[in-house]
Amino acid sequence: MQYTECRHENEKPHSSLFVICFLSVFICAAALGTLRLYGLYLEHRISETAGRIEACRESNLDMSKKYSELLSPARIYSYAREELGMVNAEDIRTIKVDNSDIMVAQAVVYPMEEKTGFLDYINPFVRKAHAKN
Amino acid sequence: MPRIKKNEPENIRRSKSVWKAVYLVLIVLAAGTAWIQLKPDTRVVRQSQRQYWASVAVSASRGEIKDRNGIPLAVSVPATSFFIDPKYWDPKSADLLSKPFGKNIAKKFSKDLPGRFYWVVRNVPKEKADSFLEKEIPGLYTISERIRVYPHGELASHVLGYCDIDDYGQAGVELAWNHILFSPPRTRFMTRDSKGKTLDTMGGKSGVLKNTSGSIRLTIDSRIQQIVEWRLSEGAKAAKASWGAGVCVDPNTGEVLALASYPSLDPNDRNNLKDQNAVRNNAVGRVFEPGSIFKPITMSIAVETAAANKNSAYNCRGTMKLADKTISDVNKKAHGIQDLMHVLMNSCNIGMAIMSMGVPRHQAYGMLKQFGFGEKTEIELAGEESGLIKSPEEWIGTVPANIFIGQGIAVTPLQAVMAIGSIANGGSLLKPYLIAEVQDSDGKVIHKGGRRARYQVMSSKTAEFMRTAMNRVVSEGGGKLAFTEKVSIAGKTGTAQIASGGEYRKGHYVASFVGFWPSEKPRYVMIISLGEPQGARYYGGQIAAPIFKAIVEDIVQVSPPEKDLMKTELN
Repeated sequence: MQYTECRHENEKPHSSLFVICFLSVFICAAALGTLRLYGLYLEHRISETAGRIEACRESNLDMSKKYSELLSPARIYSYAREELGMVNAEDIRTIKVDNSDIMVAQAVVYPMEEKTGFLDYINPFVRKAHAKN
Repeated sequence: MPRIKKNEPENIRRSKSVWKAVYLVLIVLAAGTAWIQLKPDTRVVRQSQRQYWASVAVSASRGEIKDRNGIPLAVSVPATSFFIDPKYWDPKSADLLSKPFGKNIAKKFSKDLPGRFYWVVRNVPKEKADSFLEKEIPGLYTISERIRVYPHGELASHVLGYCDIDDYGQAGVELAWNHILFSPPRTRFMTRDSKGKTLDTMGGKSGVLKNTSGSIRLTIDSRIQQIVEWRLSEGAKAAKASWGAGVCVDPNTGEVLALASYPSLDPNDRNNLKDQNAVRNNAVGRVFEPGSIFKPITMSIAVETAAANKNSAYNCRGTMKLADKTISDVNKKAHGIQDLMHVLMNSCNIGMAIMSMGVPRHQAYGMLKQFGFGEKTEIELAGEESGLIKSPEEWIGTVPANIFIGQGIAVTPLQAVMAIGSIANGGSLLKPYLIAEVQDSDGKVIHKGGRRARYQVMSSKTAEFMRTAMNRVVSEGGGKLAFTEKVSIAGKTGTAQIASGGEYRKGHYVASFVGFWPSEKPRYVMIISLGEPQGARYYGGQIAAPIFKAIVEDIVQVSPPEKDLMKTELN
C-alpha cells in the first residue's frame, strides 16, 4: 500500500464550498416550504375569520328580523290589549282656548353671563361648567 | 506528524466531478422549484382551481326598508338553497328527498340527468335546512342565499311590494327602488373535495362578500299604517266592498304617512301573489269617478275664477233639465235657495251644476290639471295611474256639470287626497313623497325627500273658506257620522256611480270620505274609498265616514292633537 502526504489543505476549500452551497440551497428550499406552509396557515386563519364574520352577519340578520317582529304595531297592540288589559283612552278632548283670554307661563332662558375674570379663566371647574352650559 | 492518507486513484477524483454535477442539478432544481412557487404559470393555476375550487353565484343581502321611526319593514335573512350535481348524484337517493321537499321533486331526481347543475329547492329557512343537512347525501349540495322577508306580514304590503326568487323587486318600493336595494349576485369560491363535493367554507380566496345595497327609510308611520289597514279592512268587510283604499298624508309637507289597499296580502307567502285583486294597489293604481268628494275642488275653482263667491245663491228644486239629460239630487230632494256653504253641506248636485255654467271651460280644465288630475303625482312607487280628464273640446252638454259633481272624471285616491290637501294647507298643491331618506352601502345619505310645491292652486282666503265649509259638512251636514269630540274634523262625503259600457249602472257605487284634522291647523289629510259595496248601505256618509272617524280616533290615541292649540304668546 502506498501512502503519500495529505494534500487536503489544497482540496478542503473546494469541498466546503460545495457543502455550503448545498446547505444554502437546502435551507432556502426549506425556508420557502415553511413560508408556503405558514401562508397556508394564515389563509386558513383568514378563512376561519371570514367564516366567523359571515356567521355573525347571518346571526345579526336573524336578530334584526326578530327585533322588527317584536316592534310590530299589531303585536304591541294585541299584547297591550290582551296581556296588559289596556284600553283606549276615551277622555281625549281637544280644547280650543281663546288666545286673548289666557296667558300660559313659559320657561325663559336667560343667557349665561360670560366669565371674563382671570380667576374664572384659570379655574378648570368654571370652564367645565361653561362647556356643560 | 503529518497525516498519512491513501493516495486517491484517478477514478475517485472523477467521482467528485459527478458530485459537482449532482449539486449543480440540485441547485437548478431548487431554483426551478422556487421560481414555480413564487411565480406559477397562470394556466396551471387556473387548472388547479378548476379541480379544487368551484365558483358559485350567490345572492347578496338586499337593502333594508324601514318606516319613519326606523322600524324595519323589509329585511333579508339567510336561507339555504339545495342543488344537485348529476355527476355525483345517485338516483337511488331520490327517496330521501320526498320527505322534506315533496314527492314531485323526489320523482324528478329519481332518474339519470344530463348536465352538471339542477336546483332542487331554493330559499329553505335555515332551521329546516340544517336538520336535513345532517344526512349528507352525496351529490346534493347547498348554497347559502338570502331570502326577502316582511316581518310584519300584511303591513304596508302594497307600499313595499315584493321580490322574485332572485331577490329582484317586482312591485311597490321594491321595484321602484330596485337599483338601490338590489345587490347583484356575486361569485363565491368554494372548495371541492376529492369526491367533487363543494364545501361552503368561505375560503380565503373568497373573503367576506361586501354588501353593496343601500337602505331606504320611508315616510310611512307603521302605527298609523296599521290603524288604517285594520279599520279599512273591517269597514270593507262590513260593507261587503270588493275593493278599498286609504291614504293618509301630511298636508303641510306631502309626506305619505299611510297608504293602504284592500284586499291586502302577505307577501311572505308566494301563493298569495296569484290573487291579482289583492296584488293591485288601489290607492295609486285604480281610477274611479270621485263623486261628491270632488265638490270642494270644483267649488274652489269656481271661487278662484270669480264664477262664485260667498254670497252667491243657488235655487235647488231637486231636479234640473240640462241639455238632453236630467240632473237630480239624492232622492230628488229640493234644497231650495242656498248659499255656497250650504251647497257643500247638502252636497247639492243642482247647485254645483248651476255653478259650473259660470266657469270658463278652458280655465276650469287648466285648473283641474293644476290640481294634478289627469297626470301622475310622481310618487316614488311603481304602478301609478294618471287618471282621466276630458279635454275642453269635449266639455259639451252635461259634461261640465257632471265634472263639477265628480262624475265624468277619473282620479286615483292619491290624487284626490293631495288635491284636498291643498285646501288643508292654504292653497299649495304638493307632491306626495314616500321616501324620507336613501343611504348607500356606506351609510352616506344620497337622497332626501322633502316638501315640493307644484302649484299655488288657490288663494289662502279661498282655502280658509273651504276649510270652514268642510268643517260644517262634518258638524252639521252629510258627514255627521265622521264627527268626533276628540278632534275637529273637516271633510266631504261622496257616493259615485260606476260607469260600465257608457252607462251608469244601479247598484254599483264607490263610497268615499275625504277630510283633514284638526280642522283649525290640519296635520293629517286622509281619504277612505270603498268600491262596489254590496250591503244595504252604500253611501259614503254611511260606510266611509265611520271608518274615517274610527281611524282619526285611533290616531289621536297614538298622536294626540298638538298642545300648541292651547298655547298663547307671553305678553
